Amino acid sequence: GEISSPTQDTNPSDHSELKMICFQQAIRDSDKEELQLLPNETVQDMAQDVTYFCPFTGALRGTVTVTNYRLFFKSMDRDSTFMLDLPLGVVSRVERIGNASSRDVSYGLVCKDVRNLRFAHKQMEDTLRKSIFEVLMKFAFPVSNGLQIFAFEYGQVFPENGWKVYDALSEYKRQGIPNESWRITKVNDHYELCDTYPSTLAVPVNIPDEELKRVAAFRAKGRIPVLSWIHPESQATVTRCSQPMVGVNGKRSKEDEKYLQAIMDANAQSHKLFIFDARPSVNAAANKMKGGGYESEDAYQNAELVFLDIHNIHVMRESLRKLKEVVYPNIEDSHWLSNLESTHWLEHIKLILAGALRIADKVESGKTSVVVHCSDGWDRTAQLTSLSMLMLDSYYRTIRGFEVLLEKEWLSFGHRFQLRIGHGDKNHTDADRSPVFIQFIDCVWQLTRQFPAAFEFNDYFLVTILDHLYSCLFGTFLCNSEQQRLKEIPKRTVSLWSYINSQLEDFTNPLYVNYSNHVLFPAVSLRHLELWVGYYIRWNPRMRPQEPIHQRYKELLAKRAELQKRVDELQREVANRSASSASERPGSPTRSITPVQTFV
Amino acid sequence: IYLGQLKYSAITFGFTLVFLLIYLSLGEIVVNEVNFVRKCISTENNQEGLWGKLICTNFKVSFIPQDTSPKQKSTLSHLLLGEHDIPLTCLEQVVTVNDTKGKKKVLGSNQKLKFNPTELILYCKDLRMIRFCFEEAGPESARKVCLAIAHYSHPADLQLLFGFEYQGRRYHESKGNERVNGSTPRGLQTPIFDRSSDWDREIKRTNASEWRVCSINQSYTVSSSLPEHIVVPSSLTDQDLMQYASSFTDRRIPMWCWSHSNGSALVRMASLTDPLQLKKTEQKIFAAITKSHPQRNEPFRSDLDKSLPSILDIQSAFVKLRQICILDPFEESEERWLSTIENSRWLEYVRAFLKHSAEMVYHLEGGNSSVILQEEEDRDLNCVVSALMQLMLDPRYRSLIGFQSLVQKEWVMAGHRFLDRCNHLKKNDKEESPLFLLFLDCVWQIMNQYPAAFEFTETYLTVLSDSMWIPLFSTFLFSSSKQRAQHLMDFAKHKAIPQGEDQVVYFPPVWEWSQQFSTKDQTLFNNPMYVGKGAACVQNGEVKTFKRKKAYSSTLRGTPTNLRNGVKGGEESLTRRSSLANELKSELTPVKDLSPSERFFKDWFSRPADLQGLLIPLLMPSHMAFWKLFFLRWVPEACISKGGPVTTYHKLSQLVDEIEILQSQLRQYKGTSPGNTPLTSSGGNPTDQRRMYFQASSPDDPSTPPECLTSSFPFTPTGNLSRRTVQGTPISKFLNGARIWLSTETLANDTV
Repeated sequence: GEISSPTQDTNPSDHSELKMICFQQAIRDSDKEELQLLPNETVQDMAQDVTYFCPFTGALRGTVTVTNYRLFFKSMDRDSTFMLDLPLGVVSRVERIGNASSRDVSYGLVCKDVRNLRFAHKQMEDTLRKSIFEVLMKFAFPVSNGLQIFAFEYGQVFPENGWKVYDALSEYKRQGIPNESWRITKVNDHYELCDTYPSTLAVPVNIPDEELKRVAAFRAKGRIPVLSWIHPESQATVTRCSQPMVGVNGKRSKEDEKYLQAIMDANAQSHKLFIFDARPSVNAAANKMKGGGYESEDAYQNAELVFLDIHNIHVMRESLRKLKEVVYPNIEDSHWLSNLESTHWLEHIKLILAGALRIADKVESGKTSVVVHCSDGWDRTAQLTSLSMLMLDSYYRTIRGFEVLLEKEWLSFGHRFQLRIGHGDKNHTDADRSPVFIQFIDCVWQLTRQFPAAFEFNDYFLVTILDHLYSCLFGTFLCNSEQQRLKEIPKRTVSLWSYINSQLEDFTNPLYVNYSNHVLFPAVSLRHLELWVGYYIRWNPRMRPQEPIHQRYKELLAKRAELQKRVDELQREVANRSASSASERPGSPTRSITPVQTFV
Repeated sequence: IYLGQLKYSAITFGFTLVFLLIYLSLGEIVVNEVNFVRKCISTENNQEGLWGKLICTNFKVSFIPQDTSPKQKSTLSHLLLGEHDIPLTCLEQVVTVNDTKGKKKVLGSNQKLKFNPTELILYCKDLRMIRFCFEEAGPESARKVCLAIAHYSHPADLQLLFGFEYQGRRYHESKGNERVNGSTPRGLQTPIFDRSSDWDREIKRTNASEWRVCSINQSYTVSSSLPEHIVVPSSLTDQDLMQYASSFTDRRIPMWCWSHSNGSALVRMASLTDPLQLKKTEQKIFAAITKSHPQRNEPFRSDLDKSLPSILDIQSAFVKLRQICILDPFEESEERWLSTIENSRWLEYVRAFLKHSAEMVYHLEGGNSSVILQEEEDRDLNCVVSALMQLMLDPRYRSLIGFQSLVQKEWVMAGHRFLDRCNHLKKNDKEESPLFLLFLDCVWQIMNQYPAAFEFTETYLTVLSDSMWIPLFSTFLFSSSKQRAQHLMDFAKHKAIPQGEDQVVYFPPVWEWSQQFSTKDQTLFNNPMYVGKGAACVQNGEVKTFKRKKAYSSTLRGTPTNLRNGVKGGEESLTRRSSLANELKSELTPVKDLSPSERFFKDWFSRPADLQGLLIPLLMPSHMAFWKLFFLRWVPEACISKGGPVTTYHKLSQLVDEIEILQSQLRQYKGTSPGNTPLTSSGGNPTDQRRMYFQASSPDDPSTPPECLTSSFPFTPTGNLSRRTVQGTPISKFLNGARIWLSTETLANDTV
């Protein structure tokens, strides 16, 4: 039985700047452990004598408060206070359990962050009164109930403005674009070429905008190959797109072929182009039935096509579902590793990392340009390009660089966050939901494990991103594309990066070293891949977080600073003394000087 | 100090004359050798290899490459063994192959070989696997070398192990030097527990006032496996003990190990053999142990044979694990890596030992009763559990010297049968069992969870386990004190070592690390994070605590998310794995009341761990980690270049080195006041004695990670593992490990 007390951890005592609105019943309690409302957060309902069935502690009786943002449960049972603070955005599904005749009504909450919660309360005497969980359902699924997502109401002001973190033009400029081979095109300024792409695109110089439109006709959803990253020395590039519309008849497009040739020609170092199709070859072939497919090597003369065997969103969803079964609420005492294996989660992680490594290896070691696509180019493609860029370019391993990477490869290139996460939508069985982005963050975590000094950010940064992927507190992950986000989101919501960049210290890895030209080639083997326990098993109180190394390093840094200060002081003192007494030889610390201070 | 000799030999490679240099230790002689041998190196290119000469001596198998500039040098260099050397005792199996004839033979001692080998494969106990090819070598000399290696790796007698030759010569050659210096070897700082004063000190240190040193086993007259001095309850007289001894296996009188500050003692005991006396003797012993407890609490007894895996189980788990890590082709074992690891049961056993030790710790610490560990012979499982318990209970044993004294006390002196368990003479495979390695893995698990609690590193644990296979130290060669004493007495007589000379001097234990490594390389043992009495960086100056700045947004409140919500803790699960609907609908059973030990652990884990106090590891299956450095260090495919945990070690070491430089500067300013730290008090240039392997970089250093930083650091996989089937897997090969687990249904869906 390993336990850690929750009370001090959820203690919000140092948030004095937050406005506090408390229900009268609650005011008599200690002021430290109360629900502290966010700006514009309002209490919608409150109920006493609710039982929370904690899978670790057992049943706890307490008070539930539902606001337009969260569920707050507090129990004074037993000897210690217990609190549960759950943003409603995390809730995927609410279900009433048990029959009407029973004395108690029970509700189960299925959460997107790998946990389930169960509550119960007495049957309402007043049959007209709604259960608090009916109220919760309304606010947990605002989109389905014609309400607004809380991010549009959240009124917190931060010193940093996260909406300014990413600017496409300056990011391309950082990469040296435009240059003699690549240009910035405004052809998609009004999202007419492709409504799921960003307005700013980088394309080969010698392909005019008119031709881009013809290429778009041959690529699924008009997602033409565009530049993601260029190697600063070799000029080898990572470009991304969707599948070609080859179909069962093997259709070809001269413009598309010419276009890929132009991408290859833009890199003088190599006379070859690698096309990485993220899918298993069978899946790619199956897509021909629906008009899609893959590049035939006949049509694309100097290209080599490689399938990366990464499975689709449905397989991934199923895998995470199994993983949740294995890790929540408790881990079985035996067969832990084979149960973990049976979820295939780490195997999927491996294939994604392996694909990204091959891309990075081709670009860095082979000096060859690569084209990456899957079916639509917004799920697996985003995983692969962003991971390979993380391996290739140390800028993306800084906190700001990582924010830029997400803004660019995921948000601006139309990873469909709204559909994949289902913000505020009650339709939990929607086949469009999938943990593609979670997988990506997991892969990043695996990289930080293998290269503990290569990333400016820590685990907490990654967990925070995932928590706010669901919380609906910030506008960052709302909507499906840049076009959808453009009008309202930056104006009416707060960016997650505003919050993070306003308190960087919490998210910083003290071990970080910015090595120059440091390309990461991870060992992509199950021998090194681990389950991210600090995320998937964090609800289990027996899983204590472990970051003593970072803590210890910070202590040592403080120690060094303190010693350095003392040495400097003494040096100054010695210098002064030797300056005043001419008999003493200057600048020799080993000479006997009156002891100034005791240090031990 | 190199005490050996260098021997030159000239051979012609093509038209060039090449001088090959072999380093021979004292007393080492070349038995057989063959030229133009290719050592296979695992790289992407199949044909690559090192050309050179293969030599068998009476100590090692040596390979001397013709090209003297190896591409990648191992960071840790052994003083007596070259990069390509393998001690004969380290050989697990010698296999000869003839590719053209399709023949293969495992060679033993005094065997015949009817074919000329084209290849020699050496399977090593330290998990290396080395291949030599003879395509250009003289067939007859190749055959002879193979037979010599097989023969010399199966010594007929313990006295034939090379240590007996080497230490005799070393003693006489180095005597002069040492007399001049007048210094005692550093290894002597570790108590050996071969004299009563070592035990006395331990009694005083732990305040075990009701216990005394008893010397009735002097000259091993009572038991052949107990040390000469043991600690027993004060209330028992020598006469009582004499009488009780006969009831125990090998007349092993129960032996005190350690006492808690609450007065509870840890005692280890063999099983009782005499059925008639069983009850009576047991009662008397238990009464005496009770009497030695300040509150007269009844002792708690645990029969380890009943609750833990047997030595055979452990051996078979290890064999399976070695198979997956080393012998199986990389890709093949990659397929079902997790479940194969699980099937080996190694981690399960590691967890079982840790768990049992933690429970026994509860009885001592929480239950305030003495604990008696009982095992048939008291020489295997008891060693693991008693040592683990003391590591958890007593921070002293988490220092380097303390740990060594613990091994000395609970393993070497307690009579763990190292000779049989290591199977140095390759006589009885059934006795072989990697118990000591299992113990080291358990230690590593605790270290992995509390990285600042130990003065030493995982490199130290790995090097210690490798030292078992170098037959030069008195530590791992014998099965009991008696056997050690007898052999060393004969040895001293034969080698004309003066009577009264300390055996630690003429046949040193492994703890004298300067036998194997330079002072610089020994700094790889130092953990820069150590928070302990010996840690130079914590004792002076306050340690700052870090308060988080005011945080914005209340969702996360600036605290680590994993602590954030719904964490209160508890024990049993309410529901087992089931479908969601079942889970939500299942009847809830109340969480059962905690047992006293569960409550004890719960309380302990609810407080922050005091690294200088009791330390209990987390023991859920998901807490058990696979010891990658030990098991994967030779596997080139599993090597992370410019990464791995060593990058953290590198950064920490540099920082601690900077701190120590500043501290020594401060001391210089202070004048010549005697420092408490031995670090600089011994005079000379303090930079010569830096404790950290990686030293502070100057500001002008280019900011690139050192090439040597790999997940195998300080070992090098290249050339130390070459499987026959996949010698060198190109990166692309093992990246495409996709298997088909998808159904047609998901296939059709792949158009979203």
